[in-house]
Amino acid sequence: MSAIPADPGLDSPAQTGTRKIRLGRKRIYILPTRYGVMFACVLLLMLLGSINYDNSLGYVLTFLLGSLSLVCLLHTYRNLAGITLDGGRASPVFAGQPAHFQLCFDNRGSQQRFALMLQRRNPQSMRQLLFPARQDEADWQGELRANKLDKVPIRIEHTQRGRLALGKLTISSSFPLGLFRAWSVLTPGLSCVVYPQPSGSAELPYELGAKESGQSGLHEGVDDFLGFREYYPGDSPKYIAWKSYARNQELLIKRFCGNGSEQISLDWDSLFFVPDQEGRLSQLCRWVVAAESRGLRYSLRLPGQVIPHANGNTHRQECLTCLALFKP
Amino acid sequence: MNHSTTDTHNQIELDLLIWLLAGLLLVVIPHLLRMPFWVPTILSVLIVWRFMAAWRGWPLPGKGQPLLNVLKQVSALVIFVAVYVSYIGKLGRDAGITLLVVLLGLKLIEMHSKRDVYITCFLGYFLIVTNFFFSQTIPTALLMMLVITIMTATLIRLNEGHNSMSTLARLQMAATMLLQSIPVLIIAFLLFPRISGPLWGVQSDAYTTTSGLSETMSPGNISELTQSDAPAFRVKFDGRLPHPTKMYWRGPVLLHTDGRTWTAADASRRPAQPVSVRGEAFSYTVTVEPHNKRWMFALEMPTEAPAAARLSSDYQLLAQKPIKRRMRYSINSYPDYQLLYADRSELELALHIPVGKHIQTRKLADQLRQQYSSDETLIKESLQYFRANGFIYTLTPALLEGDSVDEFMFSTRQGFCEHYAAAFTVLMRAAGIPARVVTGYQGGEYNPVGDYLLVRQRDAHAWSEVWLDQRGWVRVDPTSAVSPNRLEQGMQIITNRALSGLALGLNENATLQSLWRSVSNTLDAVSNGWNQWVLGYSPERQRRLLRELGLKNPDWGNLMLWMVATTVIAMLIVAWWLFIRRPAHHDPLKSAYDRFCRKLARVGVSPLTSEGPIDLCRRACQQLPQSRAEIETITGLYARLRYGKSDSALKQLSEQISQFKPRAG
Repeated sequence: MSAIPADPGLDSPAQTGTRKIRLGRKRIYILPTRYGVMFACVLLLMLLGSINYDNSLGYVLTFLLGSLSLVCLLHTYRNLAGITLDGGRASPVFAGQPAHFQLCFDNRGSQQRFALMLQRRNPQSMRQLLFPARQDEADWQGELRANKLDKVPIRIEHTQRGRLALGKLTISSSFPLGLFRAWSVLTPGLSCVVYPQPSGSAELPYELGAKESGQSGLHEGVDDFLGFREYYPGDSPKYIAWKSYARNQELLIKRFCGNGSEQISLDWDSLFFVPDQEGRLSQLCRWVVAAESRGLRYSLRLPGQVIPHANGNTHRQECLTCLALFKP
Repeated sequence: MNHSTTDTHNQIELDLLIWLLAGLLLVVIPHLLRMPFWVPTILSVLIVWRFMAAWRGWPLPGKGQPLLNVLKQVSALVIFVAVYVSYIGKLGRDAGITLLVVLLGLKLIEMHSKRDVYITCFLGYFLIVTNFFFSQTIPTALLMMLVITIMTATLIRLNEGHNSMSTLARLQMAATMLLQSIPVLIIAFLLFPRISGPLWGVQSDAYTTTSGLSETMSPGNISELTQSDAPAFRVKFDGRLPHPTKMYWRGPVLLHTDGRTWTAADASRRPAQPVSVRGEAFSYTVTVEPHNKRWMFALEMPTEAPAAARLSSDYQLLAQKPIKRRMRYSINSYPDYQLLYADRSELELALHIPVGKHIQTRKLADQLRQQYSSDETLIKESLQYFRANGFIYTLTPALLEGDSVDEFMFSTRQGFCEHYAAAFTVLMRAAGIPARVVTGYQGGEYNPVGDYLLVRQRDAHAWSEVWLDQRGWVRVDPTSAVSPNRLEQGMQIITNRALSGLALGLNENATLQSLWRSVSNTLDAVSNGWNQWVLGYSPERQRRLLRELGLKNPDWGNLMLWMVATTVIAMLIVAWWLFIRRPAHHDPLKSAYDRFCRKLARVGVSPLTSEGPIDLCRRACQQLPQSRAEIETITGLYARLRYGKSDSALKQLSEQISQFKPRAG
């Protein structure tokens, strides 16, 4: 059997500390916006008028505004320069649910940064390369507070099973006057594992041995109550501890444990009646979730991979990740 | 703090609108004072409508508002027709400006998106510039700076995202950016190649005229001018100044009289005959305020006219075109001069007295003629007549009903310079000496702050010029007989004495008076400096400055190169200011701890971002057992400072870290 490949995108408490990206001179590009071009035309007209009518204050105003636009260029550049992206994380989700990436920006020691826009780069889109994103197209817009660490959420809808890479991001800003737009491309290297959507109506395949050992095979009421654990998306609402929720707004799942010997095998081959692969994976996914919530020990068997019997959060994750990344 | 994606931004928020309106109102108000009454009315209606749309949600023309759209089109048409009608016959700059103001109002109603706000701002900039056609004083410039600051703050608000800055912070940022723009402004202003306009069209008359000397003189004309403190012109001398009694600034020369009013002769059109001079000249530069006439004032007597001017046959300095903008010219004048030529016809005209007028004065002239055969003695005795017969020099003489000269000479005996000049000239003519009236200015007030002489309208003066066979045209000022003080000390003496009746208290208190004087001198000097260096920065002045800086006759390419180079340097300085200077969010504790972390990293213990200081300490102690004690002390101190309240241990921590030398375990 092959081990699960080590993956920095996994739901680990934090990214490795070396993945810091700092925006500096080499990475930031700056160009005038269309308002900047309009501004330049206005200045040209004013300059021509001042020359024609020999008007000193007209010259003063023209040169002041011209100088202001140069200063604006520096300010816009400064709004981006020095931004440090300090890793990020993305919790795994089930297919169809939106994936939430959290990027950590380290703005300690820097001034407040305003009106920033993050957008995922679509490498096919020429338009995106040339023109600034409109505000309603941006994946995130906001600011970074001075001297603080801030987390920026990026949300991707309509996920599909597999590893969803965040890809490259364009961070841009045209603060303060909107005459110039500075942008840079970030490559955080984050990805999110998307588990298959749990579906399928097959019952959990209890092992014959367990049935014979006196367990009637019925789930309810027989198992021992083990305690509570945190709710994971996909858990059956049957096991939610509603009293606890009413008391302190925390979704908890009641755990029941079999007598320890109850274990089942979740087998790819057993799903011969499911014609397509995705269907099988979805069914297996539902089984894993159900098995975990009932406190059973379960193993996962896929073509080319076997995960031995165990239970617990880590085991669940391992199995689900295996299902997510399964390539036939 | 962090915001999610979608935001339509098709609606202009109320506070952005308020900023925009504040700036635009300041821009537009100076214009509204000059426009037909309906323009401010319509504009206020449009502004109120737009404001209410943002505040209370009143509907605006746009999608789904067919009625309002029609209303908008119709009213736009009506307004354009109204502009045309108001300015029929004088379609030009003023009509254009009215159109601009009206367009601004209509644009406000149609303002929905970011682009519309920018267009409105740009319309505002054009309106600021057009205001400069009417006024370029220092207060106007300060108002412009205020408006630009507000409009910059408006643009900041537009680009800020979600209203994250306070009003004060926004204004501060706008002001900072403008301050940082000033160096390049100065560079461009000085170095941008100046060419004499106009590039198209005709030089516009930008300035309104102020009241000053007129082409005619009747009793009361010049004494009216004593009310006016307005500057007529300023003079900067290269070197010494003439004595006040010798400062006669020649203006219109009046030859004809109808008994009451004196007018100029056609002689002004003919060129001057040469002037014989002796001795040294005074060299000076005059900056004359616009007065819509051709008179260029100069000390008596220049020998040559400056460029674009000529000396007329009666020795007036005249410009080619009426002076409608402030003008500067340099002249040399010789105080010791003789005007030895005169036309026969001119002399005849200079003897003419209207028939039936000034009978008594003629009689007096005959008497004097019989007594004194020499012209010069006759003149002296005439002046003595004024001195000896109780004549009064006053700003407010009694009105002259009948024959203006006779009544003045024999009954009222009180008058101002025009009365004396007219009477004396008539007397001379009656005695057979050709004479004419010369008007202009006399004296002036020296401003020690700016080192120039300020001649005001109230220094206007009239005197006489007589023809003597050996000496030519000679100036005789009858005022010198009656009020020599006026010539010595200028009009302040006369006006102050007149004002003392008002009990201002200013006259009694000498220190207050001198304080007031130095304040007004400084203000006028500042105003003059502004006129000379900012408003009067002509191509010649630029050439002079460049020569002083060492650039001889630079062509455009060279100049642009210099401008770009200095601009780049200035921008680099601003960039240094922005980037390299550590911002105020300096956390000494963090930098001390960072130093500690760097020292650890050098020996292989790289701090992970996920690690807190305690975890780091533990890991470091594991890897560097020999430095364990130090690491623990430092971490303990840091934790106390970071999470506790004491600040005093910072120094200690800093020292500890400086001395820390981790040894690889």
